Amino acid sequence: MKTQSTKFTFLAGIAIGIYAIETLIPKPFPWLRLGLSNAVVLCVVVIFGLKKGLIVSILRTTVGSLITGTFLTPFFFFGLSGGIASTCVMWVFYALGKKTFSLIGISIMGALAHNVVQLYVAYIMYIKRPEVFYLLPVFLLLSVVMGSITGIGAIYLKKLIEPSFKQAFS
Amino acid sequence: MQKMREKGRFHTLIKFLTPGDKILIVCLLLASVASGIALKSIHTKAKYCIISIDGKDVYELPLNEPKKVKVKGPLGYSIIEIDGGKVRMLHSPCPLKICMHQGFIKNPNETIICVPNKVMIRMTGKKEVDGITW
Repeated sequence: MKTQSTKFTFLAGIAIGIYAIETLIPKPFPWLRLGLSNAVVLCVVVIFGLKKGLIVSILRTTVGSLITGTFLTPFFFFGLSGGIASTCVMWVFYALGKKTFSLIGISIMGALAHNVVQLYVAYIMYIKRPEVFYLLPVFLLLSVVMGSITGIGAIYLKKLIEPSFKQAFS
Repeated sequence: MQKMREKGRFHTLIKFLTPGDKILIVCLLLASVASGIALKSIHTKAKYCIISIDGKDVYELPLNEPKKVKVKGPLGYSIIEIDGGKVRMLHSPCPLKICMHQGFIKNPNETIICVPNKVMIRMTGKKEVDGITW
């Protein structure tokens, strides 16, 4: 039990580290992120289930934004809401369709949920103009690209860490 | 040799994809293109223009009736022409005449801004003055 929680916390640490390093990558808009830390969240959802996935997701956004200095800014709320939504969607898709979709497909769905929820929160809380949804086509395209990259990362990460966690479980 | 290895790597990446994944990716790409085209086509036309001087909205005029408006700014009188859904700065007392060189504007949320004379012309789709910046 002790090793399991240690490794789980270690994974959350990896997610936070990736989140923090990712913000250093230059990008055209400040809210645009590669979402590579989502690969860790996806692995946690797959191995540990929804609850721990949500914990890692919330921890990643909160501690990550404390590190990068965006805590309690609009981007933090976008990231938090999107993170929770994408974790739930990924869990549902993994539980229902793990035979139909590989981790890449699940990751794309997660990225899509992240982007759409983010846009909706931006619409409700901050911008309040329907013009926000002009970004939707771009976000759809981006979620396919970013989701694929994250999914490939998640497949390799899962291969890497799953054996040791299987041991911790037994 | 190098090329073959690259190709092999690409193939292993493709192998990860299940048929469900491929269908999902194709559907999302189609949805993205389709929604892009749909949003372009329902792009609302500008119906009103809002003229503001020194930050205060002074006129809200419909674009369908041709009109020339004379407004007074800090430097003098600016003349704004509305003609067939388009708006331009016909005359301005400012030194560089950037606003006049911009010509006609016609789409929603387009603006002509004359900084020296503090005149701003803004296009809107609906009859409603609002704007939130953050």
